[in-house]
Amino acid sequence: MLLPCFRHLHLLLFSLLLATPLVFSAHEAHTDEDAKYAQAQEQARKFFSATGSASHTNNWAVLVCASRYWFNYRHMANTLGMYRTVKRLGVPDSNIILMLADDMACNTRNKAPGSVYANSKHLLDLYGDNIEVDYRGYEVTVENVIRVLTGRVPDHYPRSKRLLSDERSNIFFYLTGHGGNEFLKFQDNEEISAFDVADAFETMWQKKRYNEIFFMIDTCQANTMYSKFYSPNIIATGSSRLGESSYSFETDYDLGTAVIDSYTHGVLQYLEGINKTSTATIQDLFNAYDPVKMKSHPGIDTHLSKRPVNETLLTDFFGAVARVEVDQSSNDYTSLYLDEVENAASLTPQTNESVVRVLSRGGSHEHTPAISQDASWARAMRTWGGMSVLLVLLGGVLVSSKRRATVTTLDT
Amino acid sequence: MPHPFRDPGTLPFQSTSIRRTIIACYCAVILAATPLWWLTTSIQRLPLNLDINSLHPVSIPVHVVTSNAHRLDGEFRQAVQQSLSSKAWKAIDVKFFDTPQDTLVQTYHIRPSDGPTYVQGNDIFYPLTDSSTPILAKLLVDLIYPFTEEHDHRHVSVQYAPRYRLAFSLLNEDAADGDHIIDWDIQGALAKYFSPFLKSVSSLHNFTIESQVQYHAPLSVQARTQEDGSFALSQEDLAVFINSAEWSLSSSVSNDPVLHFILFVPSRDHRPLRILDLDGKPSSSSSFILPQWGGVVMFNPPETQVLRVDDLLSPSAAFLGQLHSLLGVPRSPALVNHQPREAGLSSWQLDTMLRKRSIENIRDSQDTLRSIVRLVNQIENMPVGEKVRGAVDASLAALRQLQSVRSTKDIFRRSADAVHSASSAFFSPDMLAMLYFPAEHKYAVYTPLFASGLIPVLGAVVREIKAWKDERKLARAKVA
Repeated sequence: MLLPCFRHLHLLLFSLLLATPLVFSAHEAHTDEDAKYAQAQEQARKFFSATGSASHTNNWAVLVCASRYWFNYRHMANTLGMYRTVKRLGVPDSNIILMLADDMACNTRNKAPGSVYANSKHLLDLYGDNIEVDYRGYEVTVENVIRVLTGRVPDHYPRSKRLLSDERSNIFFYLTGHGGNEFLKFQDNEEISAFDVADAFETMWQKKRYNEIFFMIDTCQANTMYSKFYSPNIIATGSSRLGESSYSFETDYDLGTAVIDSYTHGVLQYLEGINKTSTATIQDLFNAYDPVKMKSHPGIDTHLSKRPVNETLLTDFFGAVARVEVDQSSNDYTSLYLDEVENAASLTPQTNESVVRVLSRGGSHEHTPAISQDASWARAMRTWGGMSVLLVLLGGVLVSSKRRATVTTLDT
Repeated sequence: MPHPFRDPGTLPFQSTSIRRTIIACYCAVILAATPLWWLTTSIQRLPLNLDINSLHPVSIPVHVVTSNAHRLDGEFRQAVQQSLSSKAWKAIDVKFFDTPQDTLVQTYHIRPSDGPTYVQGNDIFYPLTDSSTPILAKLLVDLIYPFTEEHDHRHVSVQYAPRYRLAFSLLNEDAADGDHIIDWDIQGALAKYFSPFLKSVSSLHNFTIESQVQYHAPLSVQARTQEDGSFALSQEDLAVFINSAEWSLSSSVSNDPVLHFILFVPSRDHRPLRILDLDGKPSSSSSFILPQWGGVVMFNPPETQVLRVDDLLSPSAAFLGQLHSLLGVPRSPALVNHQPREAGLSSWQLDTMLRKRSIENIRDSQDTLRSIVRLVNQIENMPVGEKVRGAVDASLAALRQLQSVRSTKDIFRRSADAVHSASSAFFSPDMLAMLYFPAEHKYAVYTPLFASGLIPVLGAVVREIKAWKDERKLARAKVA
C-alpha cells in the first residue's frame, strides 16, 4: 500500500538531485563571470596605458556556418553573403577560411539547382562563379574550428585549411547557426561554448597569431557567446541578447524556406555600401544597427579593444592591406649597394619607448594566470558544492530506503 | 494436496546467499569499472621540465678590435655600447680588444685607411686624419645592428622562415587588344640577377621559385587620367591594387610563406601607367612594395612581345630591391662612400642578418615556450603528450647549446632549431584543449546514467547489511 508513495518520493528526490546542482553552479557561474570581467577590464586598462600604434599588414577571415539541412538554408546564405563581401572588399581567397555544410546548392529540394540566394527575388547568386569552401560537410566540427584558430592542425593539411596569421594579422571571425546561452550548436551534433572560443582566442594571442579580431555572430542569444572573452584586442558584436531569438529576414515561397537572417541582412546591406577605399568605421556599422529591422537587439562589446571603434576602419578587417610603400630608390641595380644619406639620420629616441612597450606587453601577459587561478578556484568550489549536494541527497535517499526496508519487514 | 503456490522463501533466487552474491557482483563490476572510467576520461598532462625563469635573456657576443693608430678612447666604446643597448633588446654583447681574441666570435676590425672610409669583409677602413669618434661609433653600430625601431615598425620584412616560395607573375591587364607581352625569359633573368643573392643568403633561407604568365588581369581600381594623357594610380589606389578576387596568385602547393613579385603590364588603353606620389605628382618610381607580401612593378612595355633577359634588367633590379627589403637586408651605412662590390651580399650584411634573425628566433622560441607553460597552467583540460614534451625539451636543448657556441652561423643554426621545436610543440595537433563542458553538462550526462543504476544498488546493499546485522542480533539473542 505504501510502496507507490515511496516511489514518488524517489522521483521527487531524483529530480531534486538533478536540479539542485544546476541552480548551484549557475549561481557560481555568475560570480565567476563578474570576477573574470573585472580582471579582464583591469587587464585591458593596463594594455591601454601601454599601447603603440596599431598596425597590420594582412587580413584574414574565418567564416563558419554551423548548421546543415535544408531548413537552415538561411545560415548558409548568411555565410556566403559574408564571404562575398570580404572577398569583394579585397581579402584574397587564400586568406579566407570558409566552413560550410554546403548541402544547399545541390540539395534535391533546391528549385534553383546550383545556386544559393539570399533574397526571394533571386537577384544575386551567392554560390555563383568562384567560391572556395575550405571545410565542407562533416568537416565543420567544433574541433576543426578550434584547430583552425589555434593552428593545431594535422601536418598533412593543405595551406587552404590553415589560418596562417601572425602578429600583424587582423582577423574577422563570423559564426552563424543555432545557439543558446553561451553555446552554438554544430550540425545538430555538438556544441561550441563561449569558453572554448575564449580559450582559443587566448591561445592565439599567446602565440601572437593576431593583431586584432573582429568577432561577429548571428544566432539566438548571440551576445552571450562573446561574454567570456578575456584576450586583448577583440571587438565583438552579436545579433541578439540573452534570452532573445534571432529571426530570419524573409522567406522564399518558391524554395519553401527562409533565405537570410535579419541581423546578417542588415550588416550586409550596410557593407554593400562601402568599397575598398571606404573610410567608414566600425562605429558607423554599429550605428546602422536597427533593432526594429533586425528584430532583435544587437550587442557590441569593445572593452577588450585598445583602439576606439570610431577610429577603426571597416576596411581594417574586410579590406586587403593597410598600406604600401612606393620604392624610393631608382631602379638602378647598382643603386642597391649604394647608400642613402637620409636613411642614416636617425639615432633613435623612440627606441626606449618601444622597449617599454614590449616590456609592458610582457607585463600584461604575466597578469593572465591570475584569472585562471580565480577561475579554477571557482570551478573547484562549484564541483565541491555540487558534490556535497549530491551526497546530502544520496543520504536522504538512503534514509528513505532504510524506512522502506522497515516497512517491508512490517509487511512480511 | 500441495499448495498451488510455492512458499517465496523457497525460491532459489530468494535465498539470502544468492541475493548477496548478486549484489556483491554488481558492486564488484562497478568497482572494477571505475579505474577504466577514470582512465578513459582523464587527460594526459605530462609535466614539462621547464622553468620559465630559467630562460635567460639573449646574449650574442661581438668583438671589436681597434688598431692603436686611431687612439680610440673609452668615450668611443661607451658610445657604441650605449647605442647598441638601446636596440635589439640589449642582446648584443660587444667587447673591445687591441688584438684579435677568439677567431670564432664575430670580430670587427677597425683599420686605418689611406683614402676614404670603406668596409671590406667585416673590416672598417677609416682614415686616420678623421678623428671624429661619434661618426665612427655610428658607423660601427650600423654594421653590427643597423635596424632601428622605425625599421621594425614598418614591418616590411617578413617573419623568419627556413623556406620561402618566390612567385613571379607577369600579368597582362588585357591581352585581347593584341598588344601585350606573350612571354618573358624569367628563368634567364633569375639566373643572371637573382642567383648571386639567393646563393649568398642560402645559409639563412632556402627558396622555391615559381612563375606564371596571365593574359587577363583586370584592375579593380580605376586608373586616373592625367593632363598629359597618361594614366596614374594614387597611393590609395595602390593599397587596393592587388585584385586577388580575379587574379589567381596563390597556389597552395606547400605551407611555406610566399613572396609575390608582380610585373604588371597595363592594357594599351591605360598606357603609360604611372604611380602618383603623396602630393599627387607622377613619381619617378614605378614599383611599390606591399609589406610582408611582395612587390609590384608597373611595366609600360617597349614595342616588343617577348621580354628578353636584358629587357628584364630594370624590373629584376626592382624585384631584387624589394626582396632585399622583404628579407630585411641591411643597407650600407651612409658614411661609406664606396666599397668594393661583392656578388650578392657583403659578408657584414650577411652577418648582420644572421645576428638579427638569431636574436628574433631566440626571443620567439622563448616567448613560445613561456606561452606553452602559461596556457597549460591556464587551460586545465589541455593535454600535454609525449610529443609536446619532446619538442619542448628539444627547444630547450637548442637554447642551452647557444651558450656554448660562439660563431654567428652556429648561433643562428641553434636559434633556428630552437624556434622550430618550440613552434612544433605549440602547434602540436595533440595539444588541443578538450572542449569545455560546464559542470551542469557533466551532471546532466552522469546523473541519468549513473544515479538510476547506482541508487537501487546502494539501497540494496544497505538493506542487506541491515538484514545481516538483524540476523546476527537475532542469533546472538538465541544463543543468550
